[in-house]
Amino acid sequence: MNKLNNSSGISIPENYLVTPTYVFFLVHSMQVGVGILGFERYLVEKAGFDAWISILIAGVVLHIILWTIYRLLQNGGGDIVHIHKKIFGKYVGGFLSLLFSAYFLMLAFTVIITFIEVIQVWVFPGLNLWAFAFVLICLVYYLVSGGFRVITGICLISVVIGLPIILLKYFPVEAGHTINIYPVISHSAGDILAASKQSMLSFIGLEFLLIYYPFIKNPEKSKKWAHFAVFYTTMLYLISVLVTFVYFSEEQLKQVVWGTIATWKIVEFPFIERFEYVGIAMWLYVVLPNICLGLWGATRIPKRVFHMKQKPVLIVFCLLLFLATPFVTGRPLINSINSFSGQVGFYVLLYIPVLLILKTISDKVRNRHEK
Amino acid sequence: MWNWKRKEKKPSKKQEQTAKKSDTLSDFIKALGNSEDFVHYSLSGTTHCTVSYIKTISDLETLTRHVLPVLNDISFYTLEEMQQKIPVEHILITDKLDLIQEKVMFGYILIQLNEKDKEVLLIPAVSLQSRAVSIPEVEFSVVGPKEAFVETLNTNINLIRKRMPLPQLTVKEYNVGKITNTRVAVIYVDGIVDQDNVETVTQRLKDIEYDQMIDSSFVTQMIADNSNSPFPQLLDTERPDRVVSTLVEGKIAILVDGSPHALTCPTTVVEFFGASDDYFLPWHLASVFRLIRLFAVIFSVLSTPLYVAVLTYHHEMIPADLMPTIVSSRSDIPFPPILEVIVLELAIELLREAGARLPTKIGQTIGIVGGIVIGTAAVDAGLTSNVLLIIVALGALASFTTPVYQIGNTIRLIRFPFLLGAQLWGLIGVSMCMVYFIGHLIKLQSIGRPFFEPLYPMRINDLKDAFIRMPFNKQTERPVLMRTEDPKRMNQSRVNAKRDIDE
Amino acid sequence: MKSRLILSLIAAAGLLTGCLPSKSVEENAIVQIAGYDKGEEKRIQGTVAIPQYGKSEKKTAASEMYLTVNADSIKDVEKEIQKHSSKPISTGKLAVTLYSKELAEAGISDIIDVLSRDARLSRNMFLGLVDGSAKKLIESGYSQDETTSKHIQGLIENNTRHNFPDTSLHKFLYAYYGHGMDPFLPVLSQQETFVELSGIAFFKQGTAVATIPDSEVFTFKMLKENFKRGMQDVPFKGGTIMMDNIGSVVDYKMTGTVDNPEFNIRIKVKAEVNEMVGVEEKATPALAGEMEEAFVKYFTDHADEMIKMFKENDVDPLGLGNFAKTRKRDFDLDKWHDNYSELSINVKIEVDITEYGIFS
Repeated sequence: MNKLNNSSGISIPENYLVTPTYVFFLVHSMQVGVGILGFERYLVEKAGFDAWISILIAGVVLHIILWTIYRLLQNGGGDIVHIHKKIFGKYVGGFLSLLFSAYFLMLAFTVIITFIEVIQVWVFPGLNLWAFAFVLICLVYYLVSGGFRVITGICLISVVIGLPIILLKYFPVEAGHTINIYPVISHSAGDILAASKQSMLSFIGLEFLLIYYPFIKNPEKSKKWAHFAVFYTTMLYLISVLVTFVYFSEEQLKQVVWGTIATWKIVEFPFIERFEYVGIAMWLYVVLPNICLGLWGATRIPKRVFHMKQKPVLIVFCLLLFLATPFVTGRPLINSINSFSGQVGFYVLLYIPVLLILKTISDKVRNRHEK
Repeated sequence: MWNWKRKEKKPSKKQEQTAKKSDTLSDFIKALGNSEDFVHYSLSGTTHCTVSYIKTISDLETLTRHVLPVLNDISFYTLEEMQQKIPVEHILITDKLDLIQEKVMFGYILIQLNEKDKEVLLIPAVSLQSRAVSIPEVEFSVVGPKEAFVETLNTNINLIRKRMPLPQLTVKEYNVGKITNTRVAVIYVDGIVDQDNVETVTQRLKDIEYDQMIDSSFVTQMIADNSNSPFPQLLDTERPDRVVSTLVEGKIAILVDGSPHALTCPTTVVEFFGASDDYFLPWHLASVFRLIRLFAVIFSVLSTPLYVAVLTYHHEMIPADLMPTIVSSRSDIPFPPILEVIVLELAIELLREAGARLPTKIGQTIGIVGGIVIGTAAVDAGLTSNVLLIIVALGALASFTTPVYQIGNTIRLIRFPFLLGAQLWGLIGVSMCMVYFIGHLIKLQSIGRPFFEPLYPMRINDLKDAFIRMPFNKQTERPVLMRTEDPKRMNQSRVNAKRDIDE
Repeated sequence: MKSRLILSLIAAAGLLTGCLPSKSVEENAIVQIAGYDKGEEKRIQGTVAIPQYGKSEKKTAASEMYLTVNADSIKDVEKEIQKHSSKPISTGKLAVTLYSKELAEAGISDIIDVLSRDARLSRNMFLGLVDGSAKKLIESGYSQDETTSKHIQGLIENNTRHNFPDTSLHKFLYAYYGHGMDPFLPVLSQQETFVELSGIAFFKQGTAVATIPDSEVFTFKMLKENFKRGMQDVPFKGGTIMMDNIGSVVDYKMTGTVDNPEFNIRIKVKAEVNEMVGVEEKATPALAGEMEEAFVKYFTDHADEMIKMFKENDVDPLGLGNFAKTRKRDFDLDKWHDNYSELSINVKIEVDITEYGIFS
């Protein structure tokens, strides 16, 4: 492995590496973000209450993509920047890598504005965006400047803190009507596949493996953890979808923007009611890995392409996010940004198999030349 | 000795500098002559020689019983003869000024045949004035050993050694502090400890550039990985039994002469919430108590911020049955919740600080007066609400459950940023603050080892003795954190050998 | 160092401006019950009760402030009430919303839309209809140590554990928006000194179209859901027996084609009889058998009658359409509605009397 790293020009010192197990947390926490709070509605619009099948299909597709990613990385040695450079040469490859950087930055931005919107709608209608964005981005800067290990830690904490939130699903199930999910498959295959594509948008986050792969100790061993993470995410989404389906009627759900938050509302304990406030506050832990890892990935690529320091890039990107965030308000705009970044994410996922094919071809050509 | 150092701090600095320049024994004696407690006289009986010592730190009994009679009985012409005849161990003959200075300052008796001689005889007659070993006061436990460290290094090492008669128990001594020249001992078990850790510790100890080293807490702050952190990165304890058990786990202990505390490292944040009691009780009880303590800490940090957040922004969260209680208790209060909380928290801190500074008996009175009288009066006067008074008092109580005093102070302090967060953005502010602290803890290291350890990096093996304490037979390995050279605690196959019925 | 100082100054300034305008909980007028009546012309008359919590000594003092305003819409009610109040109005803890029957019969779709939109409202809130004026019902205090909202909330909550079917804002919206089912709400009526739950009103698209009286509620609940506790008096041999339900299970079955479905509703009831008034016979197993028969007949008759009433009014509170939808893939809602009045629904009830109390 060492040799491999050296040949590609990225050898990460051992004490910055993370053990393969953490790939589970990295992949899972990057996949789950703000999407899960309200993706049910979009699925239902496409495939009604059959949308849970779409989730399973999307899950299977993701496993395949994950396999491709590993295939690509194991043969390629190093990260996406290295692979791009090898296939497309210095300039085109570098440009493509920078597109990835922009995409990662956009993901982070999408998560920030969506989370802020959730807060505005559900908790503080009069939130001062400048101040909030400032503090949030300072926090993110603090974490990202700690390096990859700290971000991995945040991913771990996010998954652990997210666990009790899953238990809250009990309340809507208790109040729900299990017959809702019947009959199985009443929609056409086209509808279900369309919903699969839609649900894919909530699944993006895998592609970050392309950039943090060199940070994994014994990366071959991390494969099963990554697959396990995708499986876990699929199950989590499946449960969330089923729970909202059980709780809402189909036509009702089509009008509910944030299905999962609405189900938190009915949680009642003798000492506390209206759990959505707690839920949204805890959701900060779930969105932070998205923002941090997104920003880390976005800043790591310029470092790799231009061989510059990461910190100034990070500061610039943080500033960009800070300046852009307060201008993006309102459901329609945020919705379109969300679906745009989802679309891009979808194409990025599609791009990976293409890249693998290109790589295989270029390797063959090169081998022939060498012979 | 302690006091003397303090008083003489400034002049001795000058002396040291001049003495180093002038560089002769007579200058040294002259310099000491300025002090009233320095005795310097010539014997002109059977033996002709000069005797010098500092009477306040030398044991006069050694002098009068063992040294003077011999000097008076036999006539000596060389120092070697004296060394053989005087019935005291470890008598030195030297002409090295550094050594002479150091030893005389420790209480050795200096004997010269002739005042101009460079070679001198040093007779150890150190008078160790110290407190007797007493019961631990800070980390009191109901069951278990009742010995605590005292201010003398030798006694402290003795307390450790007698619990672990093992040749591998290694004690390394260093002198730290440019002026106080304090003895600092690094103790570890060779063969268990990771030598990298030892190197890190000794390296950092040697690198300390400071004039004084009055207490072990100086060392904590100076060799900490991040000295700006509110979290202590070395655990300090006054219990020798606790030190021994950490040594066995592969940790390193640092003892400082003059300080009744040992520092152990590397440490983790969960270790601060474990008491030695946990190991004296059956494991399930100990686990429950640990969880209670953990809950208490969380409660102590979060209770008042949550009060502020809920009352200021999220009153929908208050159940309808609780609403009248809270609203009616707050209805008279002229302040917003945040001000009310800050006033009350500060009052509690005031009481705590006053109680800590005063002698025990008066301190108790302060507690009662403050707690009951001021509290009731404040509620009656309509300055604070009943509910908040209960919450604040419980929060203060909960913060006392931490077994290690240092972390208690941290907990006292970190709730204020949380309060700020709560006032800013309610629950979201609280969770932002929490994220900051978690990020900080993840970044933090103790002697180069992760401070947030069993949680991140997640180590299942170390989690067995973190939030809960598994039974001893389940803890078969030493903590991974220490990267110990000998990870097995026991022979696992023998422990797990199962017996059938009636066998 | 200087840049750090500047940065922290900016941060401090940002944080200070970041402070949200806030009012502590006691400085809000917390509306816990709201009632809407038909006002003059096309306006709505809204009434709210705001509990006035006393000083520390009397925590449960039940004094309330009542405000009544006329307004054009629900949000306008809030605005108008604000004009009358010294404190900001907070609707987050609204526990009960009442509508006068008159208003409900004219349709409350607009109001419901507001309810489903507001993020601040609790989904566990109770909705109810008032037989008469909601204003009057709210304004007459009932209990010395309970606020009206708490009283009515308790009243509905307690009864849903017994004879009344489960209800809440969410349940209402679920049926309101869902296809193939129609919502229902409890009806409250004001007697001289107390309020009682006097029946159930059935809705069609936000308009109350039918009601059943108190005595029929047990039968409805039996048709609608499984439950464990409830009481119903049944005439028997010139007297009355009191039946204690200790477990009723309902099961829907659908047979037939999509165009011509047939429903079989099976209900199994385990019951206890503790009181017989005016029955001159001793409790024997034979008599128990007769009783069971009487119960079955009574409930079957009443259930059939109720279903007939549903069909006449074209309401489907049992959610049979929804049920059919989940059983048949090519379910057509419009067709279902056309066929609903002709639908054959068979109710089969089994009653099993297991206990007669501790004395025989």
